[in-house]
Amino acid sequence: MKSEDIFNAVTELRDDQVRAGERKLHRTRTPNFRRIGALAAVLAVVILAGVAAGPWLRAALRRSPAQTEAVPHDTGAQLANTTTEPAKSSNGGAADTNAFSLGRADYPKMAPYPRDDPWHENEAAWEAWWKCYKETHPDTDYSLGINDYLRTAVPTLLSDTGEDNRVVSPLNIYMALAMLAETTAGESREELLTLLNVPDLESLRVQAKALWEANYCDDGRLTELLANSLWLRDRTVYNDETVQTLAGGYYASVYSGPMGDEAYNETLRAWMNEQTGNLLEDQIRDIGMSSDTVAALVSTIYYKASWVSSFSRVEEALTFHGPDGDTNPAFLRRVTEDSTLYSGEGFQAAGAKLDGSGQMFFLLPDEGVRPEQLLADASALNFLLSDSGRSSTDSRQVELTLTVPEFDVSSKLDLIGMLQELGVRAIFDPDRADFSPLTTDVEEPITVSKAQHGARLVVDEDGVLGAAYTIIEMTEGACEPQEPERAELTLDRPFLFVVTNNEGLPVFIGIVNDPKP
Amino acid sequence: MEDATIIDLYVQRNQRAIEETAAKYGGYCSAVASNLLGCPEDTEEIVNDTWLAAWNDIPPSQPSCLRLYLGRLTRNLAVSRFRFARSKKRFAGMESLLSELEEVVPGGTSPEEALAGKELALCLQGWVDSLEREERQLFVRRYWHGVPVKQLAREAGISQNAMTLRLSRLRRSLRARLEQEGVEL
Repeated sequence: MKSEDIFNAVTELRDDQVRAGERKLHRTRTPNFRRIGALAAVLAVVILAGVAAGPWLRAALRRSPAQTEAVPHDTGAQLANTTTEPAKSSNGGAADTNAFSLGRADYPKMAPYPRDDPWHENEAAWEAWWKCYKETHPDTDYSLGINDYLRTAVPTLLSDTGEDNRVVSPLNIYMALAMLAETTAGESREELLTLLNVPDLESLRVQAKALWEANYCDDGRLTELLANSLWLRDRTVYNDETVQTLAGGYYASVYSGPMGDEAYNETLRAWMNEQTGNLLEDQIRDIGMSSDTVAALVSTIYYKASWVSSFSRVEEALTFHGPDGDTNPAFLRRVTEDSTLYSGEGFQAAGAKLDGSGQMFFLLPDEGVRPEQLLADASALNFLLSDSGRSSTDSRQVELTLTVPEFDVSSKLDLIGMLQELGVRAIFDPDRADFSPLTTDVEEPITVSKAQHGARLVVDEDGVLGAAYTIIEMTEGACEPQEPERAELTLDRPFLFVVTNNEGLPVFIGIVNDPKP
Repeated sequence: MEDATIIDLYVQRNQRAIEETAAKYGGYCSAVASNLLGCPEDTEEIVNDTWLAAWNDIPPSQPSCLRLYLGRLTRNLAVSRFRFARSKKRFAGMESLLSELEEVVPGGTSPEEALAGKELALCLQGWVDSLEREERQLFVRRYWHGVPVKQLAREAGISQNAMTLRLSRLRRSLRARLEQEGVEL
């Protein structure tokens, strides 16, 4: 053995051991204030997060999408009558998502991310991946009106949480509303365009396509799958141009069948389960179209990303102080140097980088401040909604001990009241709704009778797994406008979170109130 | 710029990665290289080689701590450089470090009889973990970062001789651990 071997072994010391040698030696033994400070940071950040997931959820997150029973986007299937792997249906039976299909959307196929190949040894694989990535992610600006849409919609979407958790995907809702705008005219369309903050339908198409392309990724590193579908009634004649626009510009699969028929509903649920990786089966189980449904629009998103710097399970029992009392969920912790700790008005926040995607930011309100109060404040809202908001928040670089509970949050929202609150009203009113771009082959006026959004987000030591759907159903006949239900409850130490894409756009955003033991 | 963002630039094969790395960690890597090699020209070259090595290694590597990852690359490059130029006796810092570590090495043991590199690294990590905090700090400071004995003595407020003695005790303790782990003397 040579001294060089020892030298090389020293080089391989662990990061935490090397860090120990970064500080100057102490002249005398004194109380270690740095350690006390770090402990305070741990305690502060412990309260930052909120809920626990059961072991089965951790298992679900570790399971790769390829191992889930329904793999979102069977990219092998493009057209009707081709064979796809059956998705597990909501009633446990097998349903063929090609049944009733007029055409399946053609999703981009991406070259695999050559994770295990050193770049200099397999340059071709890296070049292929990067070329494909650039082709599928053209650098098209999608910023038109998006910040105003988020600023308007997110506080409403996160309002009235009561003691419940809330998770929504603003991106998923945007895609559904954009498709809905395509099927409307006159006042109905204008109200939707106003909410989405775009001047006209052409701009919306460019914007929606750019958003879709910027977020869609399936290279084995990041799985972020967006999907849309249009469900038509077989005895109705539709405007072919609108259907083609949805199929081409919005990557929507198109189905046609007998409304109210159980087999057709089964196909709808199977498609939704397939696209959301079975993460929302409990909610999707209750979804079905009725005999007076003229058409339904469905938008989904499935998201799976790993932490760049992994978390470890905390061995000691830590307490989460929730509105319903103290609980002891499993906690995760990691220490990262060169982390940004943000200090805004009424909150502190930190982010954790997701491989191939943006970051997940955890935002902890100050003691006594509720998340909903924070959302009324421009500083916190700006922080949650954009990179520019985050960069304008006071921050400092620190070695951060970030401790968060494992959590699994889901929520189901009736969007009708919220959309009305956001100024979208005509589509619910039979005297004002105009769906003539979709069809005129109806006896009664068409209105939107259902607008439902469901989402779920699971966070564990490996990363983030999430899914969301929005279904908008249009029926013949009158629909009673609904007033938004309101409730206000005093919460203890809940927190907010946002999962962003590479440009800082919120893919998922939510509030955690309810730790699960 | 945050480390994660810099690493993203490497993954995207964006040459700004190197600029950002140099801007943020140039000083740090220079200090590591300079402690080991003591020669400004070689230090600069090693640091530049460090950026190239990082460019070739990320991806697929995803260092959890970019700074220490770069520090390791710098050390590895420095030892290669040293090996190459050893006959010229140019690198005083490295020479003295290796000479001190020579004490730890069981004499006359052939590479075949020695612990495999990985086992040795694990054994060393276990030994470092067993040290009191200040001794651990001292060992890493001297033998990872290459901080000169004189400076360590100044920091600790003791004489250079006393510091040499402390370091010598540490090396003896490491030698004892290596023997315990089955390294033949």
